[in-house]
Amino acid sequence: MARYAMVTDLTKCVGCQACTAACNSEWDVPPGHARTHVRPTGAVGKFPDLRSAFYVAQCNHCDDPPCVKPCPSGATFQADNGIVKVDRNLCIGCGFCVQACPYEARYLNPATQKVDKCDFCASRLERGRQPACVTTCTAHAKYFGDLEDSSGDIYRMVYTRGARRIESGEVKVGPNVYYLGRRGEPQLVAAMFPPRLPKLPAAGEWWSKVVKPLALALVGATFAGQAVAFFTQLRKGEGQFDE
Amino acid sequence: MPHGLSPGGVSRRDWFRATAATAAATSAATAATPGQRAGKPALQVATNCEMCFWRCGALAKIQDGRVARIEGNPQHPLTLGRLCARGNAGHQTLYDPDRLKRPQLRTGARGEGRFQEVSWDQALDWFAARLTELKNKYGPESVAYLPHGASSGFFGTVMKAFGTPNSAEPAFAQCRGPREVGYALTFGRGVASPEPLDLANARAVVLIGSHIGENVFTSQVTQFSEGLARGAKLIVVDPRFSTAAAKADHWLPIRPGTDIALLLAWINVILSEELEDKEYLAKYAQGLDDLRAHVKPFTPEWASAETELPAGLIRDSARMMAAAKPAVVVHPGRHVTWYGDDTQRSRAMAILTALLGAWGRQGGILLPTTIKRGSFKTPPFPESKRGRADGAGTTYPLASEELGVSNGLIEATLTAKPYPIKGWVVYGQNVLESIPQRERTLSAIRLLDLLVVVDILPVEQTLYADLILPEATYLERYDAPHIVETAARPFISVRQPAVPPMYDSRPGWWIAKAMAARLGLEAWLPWKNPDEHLAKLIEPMGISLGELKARGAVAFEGRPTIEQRIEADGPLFPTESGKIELSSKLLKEIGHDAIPVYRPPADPPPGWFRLLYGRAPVHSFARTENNALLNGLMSENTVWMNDHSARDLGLAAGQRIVLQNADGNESLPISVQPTAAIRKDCVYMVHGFGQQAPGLHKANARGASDNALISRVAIDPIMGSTGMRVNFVRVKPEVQS
Amino acid sequence: MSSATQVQPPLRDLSQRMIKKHHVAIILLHWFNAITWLIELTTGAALISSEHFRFVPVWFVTMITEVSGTRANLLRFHIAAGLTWITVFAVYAIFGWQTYFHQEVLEREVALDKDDFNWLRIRVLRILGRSNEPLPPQGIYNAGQKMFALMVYVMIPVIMGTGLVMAFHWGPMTLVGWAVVLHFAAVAVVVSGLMVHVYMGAVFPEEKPAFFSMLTGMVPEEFAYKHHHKWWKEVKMLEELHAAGLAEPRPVPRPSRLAAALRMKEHWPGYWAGFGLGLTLLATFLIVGQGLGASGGFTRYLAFVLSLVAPGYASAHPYWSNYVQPGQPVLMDFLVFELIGVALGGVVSGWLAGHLKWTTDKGPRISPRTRWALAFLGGAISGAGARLARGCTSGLALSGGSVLSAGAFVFMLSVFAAGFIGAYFLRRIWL
Repeated sequence: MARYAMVTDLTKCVGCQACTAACNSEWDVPPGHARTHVRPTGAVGKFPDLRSAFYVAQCNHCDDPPCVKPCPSGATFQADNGIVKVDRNLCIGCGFCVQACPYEARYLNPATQKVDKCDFCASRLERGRQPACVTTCTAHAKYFGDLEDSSGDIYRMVYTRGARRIESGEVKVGPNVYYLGRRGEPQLVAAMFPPRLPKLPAAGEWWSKVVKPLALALVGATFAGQAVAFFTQLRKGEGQFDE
Repeated sequence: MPHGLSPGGVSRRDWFRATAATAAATSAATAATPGQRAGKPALQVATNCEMCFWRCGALAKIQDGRVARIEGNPQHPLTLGRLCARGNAGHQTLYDPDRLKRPQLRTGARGEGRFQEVSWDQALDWFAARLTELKNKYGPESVAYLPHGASSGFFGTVMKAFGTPNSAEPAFAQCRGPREVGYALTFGRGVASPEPLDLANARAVVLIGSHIGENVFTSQVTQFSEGLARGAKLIVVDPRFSTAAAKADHWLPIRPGTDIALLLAWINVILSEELEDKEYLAKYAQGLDDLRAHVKPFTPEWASAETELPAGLIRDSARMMAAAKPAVVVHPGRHVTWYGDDTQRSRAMAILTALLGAWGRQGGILLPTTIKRGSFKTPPFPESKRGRADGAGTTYPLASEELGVSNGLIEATLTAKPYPIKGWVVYGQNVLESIPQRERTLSAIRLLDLLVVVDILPVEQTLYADLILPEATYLERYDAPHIVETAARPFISVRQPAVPPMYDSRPGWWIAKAMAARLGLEAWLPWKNPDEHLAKLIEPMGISLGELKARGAVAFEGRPTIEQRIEADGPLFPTESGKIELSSKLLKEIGHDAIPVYRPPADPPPGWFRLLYGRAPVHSFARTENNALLNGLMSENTVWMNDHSARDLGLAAGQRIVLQNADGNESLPISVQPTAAIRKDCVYMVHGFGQQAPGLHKANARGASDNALISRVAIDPIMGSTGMRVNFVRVKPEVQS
Repeated sequence: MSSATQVQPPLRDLSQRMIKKHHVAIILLHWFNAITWLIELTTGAALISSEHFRFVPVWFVTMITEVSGTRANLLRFHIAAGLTWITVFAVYAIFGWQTYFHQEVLEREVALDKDDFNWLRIRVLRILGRSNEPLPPQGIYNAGQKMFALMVYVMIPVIMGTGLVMAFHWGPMTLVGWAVVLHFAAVAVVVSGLMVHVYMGAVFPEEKPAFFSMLTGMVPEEFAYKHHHKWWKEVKMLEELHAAGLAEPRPVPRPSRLAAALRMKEHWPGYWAGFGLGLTLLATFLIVGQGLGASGGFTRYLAFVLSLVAPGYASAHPYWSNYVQPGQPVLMDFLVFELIGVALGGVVSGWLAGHLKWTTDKGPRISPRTRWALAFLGGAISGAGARLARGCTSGLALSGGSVLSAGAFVFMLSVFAAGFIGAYFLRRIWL
């Protein structure tokens, strides 16, 4: 089974947003949303010693995806090839996964009211095509392939050219989108856009911490009460009740 | 301009590739469907894009009779299947609900926006009658043509046949005119478009104000990035820390308007340190001694005071580019109408290119290869006794008579000199956004007896039109093919419709033919349909129409470097001397500097900023702001201001301000973007926003228009272009209504 | 015992006489409700598969998922069952508002009085063996049942509302998020009450007659006397007063014809039935993606028999091979199941309306045997005709006509013409 990964060369990227536009068009993403964003760091430093880079952000298809566990219906899942997908038939739009993602890679599609995100253009892959963002990238800065194929570009970029993950001290969930850069662009991006801690919205917290234990306790207590009653009934015999 | 040469033939390998690829394209037609729409068969039409004028190869994927997706055409020899954001969003312009839908005749006052829908027959009969009236009353020259875009050529033929020589595109006097003249003065030919820059093979790239990345021409970005990935050195001269500057080995945050000083200092370093390509210059150039003498005083130390750049940086950057010679691209720029000395600045850049031996060399600027085209026999156009009204060839001796001087036409309309201009046909250009000094343009419009606008969208100028003709978008029409000689492999690419025209819109060729019929000018458009026109055009190229249409583009063998040239390609340097003219005799003869001379610019007074403007990668000028997808990516512009200046003015990020220029012109409200990425003496905004067209529901009054603040221009005396970076603005606290 | 005047019971009769407690509609609704709850609880439990929130073992989730095929099917099924539940309740609430809802629910099922509160206290103590105090007299529903009803009537709108919010993604993410939690919490509350309810009804010996009353609608008068004394008194007093001519029976609002028909006592008005048939057809198109039919289903049955008897012949035959393909289940067709549903639905509605009986509908002049022979002959002719026409009055005329198929209209005209002519010649069979 393949382990799909993407590498974006930030030295080549010019932030033109062709990837975003191609993706929005490919997937009918409504205006104002995106499955892949281009976020400029802006100029960092003191004039004229400045640095800047573009963070080409998307779902990282993490090894340990924090978005899967909070999905109540199991709509979000990870396929064997590592692609984290949202089954649109199962999604109810509760948004627990949206807040859980450290990379802000998910959004609620206002047209379908379901959560949407990058799936590495899984349906294109099935037809032997590369993701839409990769084929259109004007700077030829995006690469996609199998991380386990030791003869492939991705393997080489990750294991010999030192493509990096965007991680922080607290958040290490094994992202599979890597960044190359000769001028320290990935480090700059990681510093400016550190992944946030995965969090569960209040409703989810209440559910797992309060409602579920209470519900189980209530049903359990009722059950116990009835068990007592049942045994009382057995002990005393049925006739006792039919006075 | 390239001389008439032998046809570029199709090599055997190309032919094989073409045949194999046609088969592939046919089978791919059903397999390649956009993502979510898997399962349903999609039809695809190979065409080229018109979201800007780069005309990248595009495949329009059609589902249920609609263009569902546009992807790059991998068989396009230049763009190789890549499309920018705009190219990917093209169908959102096709399906823009705000499109002009039917011909409209004005019923209210000019600018009031009251129109009556009419049939095409009514509209064109009316149009032809007005043209004939003007011709009878003032002569055919009284009608001026202001075109832009791939489809405007057909109507241009009608206008020429009608008898008017007055045609002008902003592409010249508001864009790349000075460059074409400056390089032609030096090398005998202009740079042309698409610029044949061998960025992928360059070992050093020099950008002077060019903001690749923010300005996206797909293949230029691809090659630029490839070059950088291969280790090319990058030198960026820009008052702003642009996207490209962030990738540069040397960023030179120059004082605006002092580029010639920097260029002279660079030339000084190269010549004094003997870093020039001596062999190349000895063989191909004249005037080197004059040049050496001329630049002697212009040391980096001298230039440092003018440019506010460290002398060391000037010296280091000169040495860096020289070390890479001849594989150096000194980017000639594109929109170069800045300060009125633009032809001379282009000359300086051309001279620098020559010193590095980079013209006609791999990794430098490539030479064009002629593609022979077929043509119909048509009568000669009637000659005007009164000549052009825009000053091309007279007031502005070196201006292009093919592209014209649009500000010259406005001047002539306002002054009725040398003769009255009473009618304008504006075709696909946006005169209120593309030409500076809006007030003058509007005054000229008020003097017109006839204003006809052919457009796709209800842009502001349509409010003033007497007749509006709705053109079909590029995805609905045939256009003249894109024939590119200025590429390593020259090619032809077709524009063909993916879907039939929507509403009551019509393709440009149809409008031209219908008008030609009404004016009795059919002899100049002697073909029945676009296929016949295209077939004739490609007759000498050795390719079939079917193949061309299936593949979308076909490339030919090119001879882009000096080493590859053959005799049939004509003289290497078609100048008067046959050599590279480092010192220009022609300029001297017409009373200008033979070698560029630096003249210091005026600085903005305290509290004022020089207004700079540029492009965003997701928009083309003022054409795409109403596109749903692109509007979603960027719906308005901001004004970049140095963070210290902003703090001094008490402005916070995102605060809405109004800008005011020295003539009291005010912008629409715009958000401040305080940033370390710009000098303190200027502000910057992206062009194309702040449109005042109520019919554009997404774009109207979003952001601010730089053009509304450009009320002063510096006219280049050599070729008449309008230098537009000479306006100072200050912040006016927004007046709350 | 209450201090109210005791009406002397005619004790001898009590154990024999049955009195009516539940209307048939209530009985049906009860069991419909029970089945729906079973389905929704099972599928709902399996739907909460997230590690954070799951409360059933993984094997259970896997099992239910596999039974459904995919999780998407499971969710669809859960939503479909829930929507059916909501629809039935809505119909019940709207058409039965006056008859059941207002009186039954608000006056008799929910309102608690002093006796009820006492009853609750003593009942619990007695079950736990802590008291021998007699229970206060109760109305048609005892206080326990009322408590349960009250809780259910509060929770059901919550469950329905949150269910709709989740199913149709109404509102922002935060709202949907809270809907999931509320849905779960409300169900948990009902389930704990449901456990008592089921225990009392199915296991608790004293309430056994109540359980059977949910099947027959009747309770022994003795049970009513003992457990629902206040109601028994009410019934008795009304009976006596009525017998003495002192009171009219409780006035019952005159139901409309449609309301009566919906209660399945008489045939529906023809136009309403036609409208209903149209809606059924529309629903079939929406849900199944094809129209209704009849003869096509029978053809499938025949093809199935043929595939059992002579599979080689069937799969090679130019006509039967349309139905019989190796590896393809012959009966996997909507019409097959539709016909079963039609038969079942016919029996149920006939039974509900009290029209169910064995009979041979025939004209007065012919014997049943002739009628059967003619029916068979006529059926064979129509069957052959239907195949010739590629459809019958259902598949071609009704479904085809609904999509404006020209063939359908030709067929219908022909059917009417042939029927008109045939009726004249065959009139003696029926008159």
